[in-house]
Amino acid sequence: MQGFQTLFIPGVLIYVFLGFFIGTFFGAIPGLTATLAIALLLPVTYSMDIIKALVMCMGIYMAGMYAGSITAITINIPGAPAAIMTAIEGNKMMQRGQGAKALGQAAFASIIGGTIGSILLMIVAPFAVKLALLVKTPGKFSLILFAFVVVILVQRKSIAKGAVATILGIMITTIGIDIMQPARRFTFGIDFLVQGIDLMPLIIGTFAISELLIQSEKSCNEYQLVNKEMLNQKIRRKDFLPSIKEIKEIGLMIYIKSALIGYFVGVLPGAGGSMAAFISYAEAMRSSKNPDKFGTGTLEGIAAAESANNAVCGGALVPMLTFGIPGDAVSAVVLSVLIINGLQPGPRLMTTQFHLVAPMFAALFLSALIILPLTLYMLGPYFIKIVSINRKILYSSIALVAMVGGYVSTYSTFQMLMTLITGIIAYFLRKQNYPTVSLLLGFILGPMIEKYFRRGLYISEGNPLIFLTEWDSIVFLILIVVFYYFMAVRRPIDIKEAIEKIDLNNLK
Amino acid sequence: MAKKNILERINSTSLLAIILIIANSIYLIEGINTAPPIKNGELGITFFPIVISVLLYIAAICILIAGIREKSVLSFNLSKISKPSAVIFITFIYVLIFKQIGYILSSILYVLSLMLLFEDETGFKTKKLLNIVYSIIIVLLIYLLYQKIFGVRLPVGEVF
Repeated sequence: MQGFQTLFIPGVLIYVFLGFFIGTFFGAIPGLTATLAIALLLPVTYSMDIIKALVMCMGIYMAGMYAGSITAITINIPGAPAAIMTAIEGNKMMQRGQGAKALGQAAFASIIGGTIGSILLMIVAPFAVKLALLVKTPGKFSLILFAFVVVILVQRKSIAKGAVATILGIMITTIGIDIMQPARRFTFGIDFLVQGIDLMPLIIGTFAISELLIQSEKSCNEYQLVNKEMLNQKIRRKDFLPSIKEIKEIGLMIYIKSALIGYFVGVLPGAGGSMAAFISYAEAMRSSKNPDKFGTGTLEGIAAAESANNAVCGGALVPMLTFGIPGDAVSAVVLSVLIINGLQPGPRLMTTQFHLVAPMFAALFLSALIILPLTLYMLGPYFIKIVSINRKILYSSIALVAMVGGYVSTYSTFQMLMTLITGIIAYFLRKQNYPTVSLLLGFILGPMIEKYFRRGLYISEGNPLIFLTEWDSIVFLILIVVFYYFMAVRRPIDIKEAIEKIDLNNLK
Repeated sequence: MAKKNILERINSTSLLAIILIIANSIYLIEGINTAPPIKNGELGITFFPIVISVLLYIAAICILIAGIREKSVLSFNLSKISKPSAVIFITFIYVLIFKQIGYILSSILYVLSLMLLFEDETGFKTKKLLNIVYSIIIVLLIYLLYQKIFGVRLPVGEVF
């Protein structure tokens, strides 16, 4: 509750709004994501008051999840992966002239989902903290191991690629000085590498530079076509609000159920907006009265997807703040904000330094419930214009901010170079569909898992069985087995069928 | 043109997997050279890295096998790789000269060259000036942002 008080100091409040606008901008433009936005702002948070920085991140988060639906509906290009389902349903509606309805529905669902997510966050957080206090070193190792396993298995399509990306991430962090002893590792005889590769260049490189490289490949023609289409759409302000009749038709349950699904998917490490949207969409289809309508443009589908993906914001913050294990890519980058500013997520953060974190919760809630409808109403029609921004200006600016950001973290051009190199590596990985979330988690959690592994062995004086005898470790190891069973062995067949059905319906 | 030997069947998936395996081997060798993983019954600093290195081999080999099984063949499209390579090259130069000639000058050149690269409209001469103007504006904006508002010091140029 105290968080709300802090939030309403005008100096702080501005940042939530600012974050929201930035998030809308980045979320709406295809290729740019909220993750990228926060990644670019990382160097900036260094010199900013941490509360303002975090609160801004929350604005970006909530906005980014929603904004992807704008271009998804209007031009069938999702601004963010979380909006893919919205694109399928929404664009069909757009083509029928019902675009405004779709946009309104998306917004409404996002508001509800986001609000529920943030409320759940506030309720669940204290319990999660109590739980976190019970976990000791061996348990922490197994917990992170569990997180890695989840992230990798959740990829479904290529587990090997997920594993590779994660391991690469961990490996990169081993370069430099060993974490427990003053000895150098993996420097390959290059003196510069002793300093290791800083987290900021890693993140900026992975998201910003690789995106830059991917975009440079694309021909300008595609972009221009898109622009022309955009400028032909005209949408009035009023169109954005869904009618009460429509809401009743869909049924309040869909919103709530999807929000819950979204929240819990968010809590799972590595699973984020897109997975949440997808699962709740499939679930809505399964339990719907008219499942055949899905894929042809139904409000139900949009409602389910958007409610879920905005609820993820609240969910993903739970493990991130209490355990230091991010629930999705955005929370992973927010985690870096905390780390870079010297804050260690975990029970201590949540108890003694809670005043720093509380405004975050309030900000999330505010963004969902108030800012979203507000900006929607005032600026709705202009959202569409965002996409027609001049590509060359956009990307050269991003490149500049990114590279300078890489420099600023340590005032070293070496890290700048590392930003570039990380970007190149990430570029090749992305081209081959290696998941970047796994890479990111590898960077962030890699040092931690090694630390807990070695510390655990130190405590047990070299006996590896400690991981099997301490009950906190056993819990997570069992969870790993359970999860593996559900994901890899008993494949969720209905979801696969659902995908195939939609693809058939969506033939262009 | 239908040679059936393995070399012809390498596609981008397998290629990346092979590169990963090579890089991993370099990593592993470096690790073993640094310190033995287990010494006197105690785990050394290279134990964990070597473990994950082995895991990476397994994963990379799985990808390699899957890649070889795929039907697609490597299509080396030179034009497609030209733009990203140019971006990489330009950025590399930027890093090299950043400290030497200072933020403002190097960034203007950087942004300018990127804009020219991303340029999609035809009509040369008149646009060139506009590009230069844009670059200067962007660079100065960012400069103000970092220097004044965030208090970050950007290099002024050692050459001067």
